[in-house]
Amino acid sequence: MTKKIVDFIILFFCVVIAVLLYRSTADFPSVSQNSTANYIRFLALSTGILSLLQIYYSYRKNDNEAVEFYTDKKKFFAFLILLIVYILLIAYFGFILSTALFLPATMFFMGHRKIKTIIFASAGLLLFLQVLFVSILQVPLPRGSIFGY
Amino acid sequence: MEIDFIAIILNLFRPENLLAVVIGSISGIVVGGIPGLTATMAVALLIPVTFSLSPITGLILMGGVYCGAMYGGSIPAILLFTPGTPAAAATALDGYPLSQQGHGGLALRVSVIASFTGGMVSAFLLLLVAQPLAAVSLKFGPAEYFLLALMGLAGVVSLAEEDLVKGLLSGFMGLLVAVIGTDLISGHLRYTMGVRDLYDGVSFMPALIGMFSVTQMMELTGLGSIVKGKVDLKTIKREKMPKGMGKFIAVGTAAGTVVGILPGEGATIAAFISYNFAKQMSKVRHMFGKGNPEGIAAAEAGNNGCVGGSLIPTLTLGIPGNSVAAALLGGLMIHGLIPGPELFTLHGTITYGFILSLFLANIVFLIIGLYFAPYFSKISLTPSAILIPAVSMFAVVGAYSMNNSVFDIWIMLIFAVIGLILGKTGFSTSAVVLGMILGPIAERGFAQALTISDGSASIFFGSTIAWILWGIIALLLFFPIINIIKKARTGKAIIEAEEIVE
Repeated sequence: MTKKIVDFIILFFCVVIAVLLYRSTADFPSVSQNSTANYIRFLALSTGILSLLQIYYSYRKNDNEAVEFYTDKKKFFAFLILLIVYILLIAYFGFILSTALFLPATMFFMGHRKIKTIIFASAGLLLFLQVLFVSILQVPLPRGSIFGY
Repeated sequence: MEIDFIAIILNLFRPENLLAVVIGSISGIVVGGIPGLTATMAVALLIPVTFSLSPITGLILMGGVYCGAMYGGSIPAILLFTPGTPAAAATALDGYPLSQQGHGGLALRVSVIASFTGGMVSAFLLLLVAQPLAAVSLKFGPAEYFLLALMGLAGVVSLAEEDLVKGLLSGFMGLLVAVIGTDLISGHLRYTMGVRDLYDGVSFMPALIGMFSVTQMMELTGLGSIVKGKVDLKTIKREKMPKGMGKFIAVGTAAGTVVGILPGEGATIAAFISYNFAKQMSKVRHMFGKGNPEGIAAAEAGNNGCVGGSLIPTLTLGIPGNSVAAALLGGLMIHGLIPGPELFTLHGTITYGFILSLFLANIVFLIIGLYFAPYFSKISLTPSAILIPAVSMFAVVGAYSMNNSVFDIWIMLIFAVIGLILGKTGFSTSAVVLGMILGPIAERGFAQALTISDGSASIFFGSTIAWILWGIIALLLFFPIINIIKKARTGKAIIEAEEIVE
């Protein structure tokens, strides 16, 4: 996808949001009409005008350079999926267990093939986290619904 | 209220605080020395660590990381031509050629002494200016606070000359995100889509962690190792500081501190501005880019000069000077410290202790830099396959622990993806975060001002401070607008010339 097209998508989205926001202020309670509703109208108008101005600039600029969101498609999406699964797992299994799965899996999918390093790095990081965050600093970490939290 | 500086200094020299300075500074150098990891990321990810610490120890730790990271970025920049942080990019221009010529030791020495001087002077200015400026903020009414928020945004876009409109728009995106939640005046819910976690709005810290940490990790996925080079420690010899560096360090320090005060992407801009100033002043201008220590001196003094400068508006007005200061602001707020005059009176012991700790952090990285700098360059060779999951794990802890909410981890991920898309298309993620921070200040100021004036916009022009703020906003936007007009004219002239030729 070219930069110009991505620009247009983002900017049109901004225009739509600006219009919806402006219209939404009509439903605000009367006490807010002269204050926060006006603020949101100001933001909506400014965003709309700036987006239209940028659409004009982007149209004129002819920037047909392709946008590369990743350098390695497989690894990029693998990481994204791993992150999503990780967050989902955290809610069920808690932080420590999910992290114990996430760390080695991500290291592997990101291309590290030395199993010993993966095991030691994952164990080291988990130990560091457990000792520093949980034992010493007592930072609350998600415990997971499966354990009744 | 009298401030007892002796008590503050005694408090600062308590073992846990000294330990925090040392650990913070060393961690900062490590993080700054790893390309892909930034000072913002380090400070943001450190916030959960500070939860169980006393506010002063927590802040000292974050301050140490900030100072250390600003310096640490120069080590791989000099030895590997890979800046550890974007702010060290200007340092690489002359640092690496010097290393190649066998003067890596000299480059490292100039870098650490310039960083130290820049950091010390800017911290001293922070100590001197912050309290009086905070006292001025008492005279600010709602209208002035709204204008202050606008000034914050103008500061960001004034530095994004290439894409002024995109810079402004990014700031407005942040302001728009900040309207999600409960209406300040009526208490009704806005744009929460029935999600209870959004009733208090979108927290800016998970968003910041997403856009500055996870986005960075997404970009690293395609790279096996960030740094390809190798460092041979035997070739790095200790060399004396060359003569005549003083004026370049002074220029860098002054430019860094001033740029740091302006809201925006301080350190990188400061380093390049300082570098360019030094180039103009130099008698051996032709040597710039080929291994001139003057360039390193100015650039490093510039980026470290930013530290104190960026904290001036952060501590006094709650307007962060750059994204690192924004993360630090998050840390302040977590500990219940609200920027403004009270920070220097009611919480004076903490605030002055924190400011004084910056001097210690500079001394710590000076010692480490003088004796151990080359060893830190090895850290930058960490494979990205290890770095990505490790940083992601800390990012998750950081995002969760702000409100003990898994929802915030999702916010982090969403903003990471948004940050990636915006960053690749020339929008400013710093401006988005700044907009999110300034949003509540701007809204409260705007709404209260209009309520007071019964809907009349004249209140925004009703005081001398308001006019001064309008003046600064105009000044911040003036040069970028002139540049845009110039560029448009040049572009038009080129098109016309091409048409004539055809």
